[in-house]
Formats: sequence, structure tokens, C-alpha cells
Amino acid sequence: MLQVSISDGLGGVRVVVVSGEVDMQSSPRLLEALREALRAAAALKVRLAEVSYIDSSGVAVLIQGFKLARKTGRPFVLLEPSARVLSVLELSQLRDFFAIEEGDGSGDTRL
Amino acid sequence: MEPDRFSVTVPASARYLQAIRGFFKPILQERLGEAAEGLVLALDESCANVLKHNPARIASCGLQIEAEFEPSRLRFRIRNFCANEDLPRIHPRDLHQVRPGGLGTHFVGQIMDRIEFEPQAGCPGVMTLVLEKSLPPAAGPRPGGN
Repeated sequence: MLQVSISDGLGGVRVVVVSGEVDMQSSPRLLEALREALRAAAALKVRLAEVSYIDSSGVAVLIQGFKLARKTGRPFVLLEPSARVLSVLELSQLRDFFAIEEGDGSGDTRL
Repeated sequence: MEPDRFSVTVPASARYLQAIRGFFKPILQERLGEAAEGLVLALDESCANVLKHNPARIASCGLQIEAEFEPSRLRFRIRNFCANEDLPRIHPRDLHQVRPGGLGTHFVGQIMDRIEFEPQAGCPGVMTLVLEKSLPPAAGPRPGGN
């Protein structure tokens, strides 16, 4: 089960918080949330600490989110990706493609 | 010793991919530990490919997946995977192109040791996808099936 929420941080940063499993069934909901968050965001962070599973469709959504943000020059950051997410990004050879903040777990959303 | 076999059939819908993962993951974790995560991913990606590219083929029979543990290898079989004429179109993409799509086949190729297509008994022109992974000795079939 995938859960997605959007919260507002300081300076116009929006954080999309994702938990659960991102697969072919649930990834469209994540994409919709990224699009929604980007409508009013100076920058976008996607918190992935609680993602227990992600497949290629989930990675594809993250790429789409990055490209949507980049179109308007806005930062797109993966925040505290879980070990599972990092493993799949490495398998995709995208570990260095995304801006990643490992975070200190404090939930600080400042850019 | 006979191989241990585990099989599941679910309706042909992406909503049941989670059920497939949930069924096989504990079995794989018990026998293979950390390697289970990658195998679950390979299996999920293959099932997703069938749903994406051949939905009509499995609409009536559902997604049929089998895991077979032999002494030195694990095999997944996904039935009704594709038609024989589809085989030339199945290949991973160049990862230097950063774009959505095309990653799933790459994942499967990276995780599994062998990928083969078997003609499916009783279904002319239909292929079963076989994914194979070499196993350490302790992960094979158990005496008494446990």
C-alpha cells in the first residue's frame, strides 16, 4: 500500500512524503502527487525514508518529476532515500543523477 | 531429491503485483536472506512486463508464476509471457539514455543469471519466461519439503 502526502516547508519548499510500496499499480499516484506539489513549489523534495519497495515504474516517476522540475529551473531532491530505494537507483545507474540528501532524520525541510 | 515448488495464480491486474511479492518474498528470504530483495524485484518486473505488453494474453488465465528450488538453482516460470514473434522486441535499453521506461528488463538481466523462453506445452506459439539464479547449497530443496 502506498501513502503519499504533501507538506510545506520554509522558503516555498514542498516535501512529498512517500511511504509503502511503489510499483506499476501505485506509481501513477506518486506522479500525480509530484505534479500537484510542483504547481506551487519553489523547490521540491521527495522523502523516501519509508519506501519499502520500488520498481522501475517508481524510478521512472522520479525521473519524470525531475524533468518537470527542471523545465522551470526548480530543484528536485530525493530526501533520505531508504536502503531499498538506493539499491534500485544504483541498479539503474542513477545514484549520481539525482540530488540526494541523506538527512539526519529530523524532518528539516530547508533547502 | 525433487525440487520444491511454489506457485501462485492471480488475476491479470497490476493491483495483484503486491500479492505476488508478498507470497514469494518470505519464501525467498528464508532460503536466501538478503538476496531475496533482488529476486522479488526481478519477478515483479517480469510480471509487470506481461501486464503492460500482453494484457490480452493473460486476461482469461491470469498471471501464473512458479518458483522451483533445485539443489543448485532457483527458477521462476511466468506462463503466457509472450508470443513467439514478440521475442526480437524484448531487450533492455541503453542506460545512458536517462528517460522513463525500459528499466525493468535491465533489472531482470542484472539480477538473474539466465533468462530463457520456453515453448509452453499445449499452447502453440506461446512462450513461458524462465528466470534462473544459481544458489548456494543450503538454499535448495529441503528434506521432507520443509
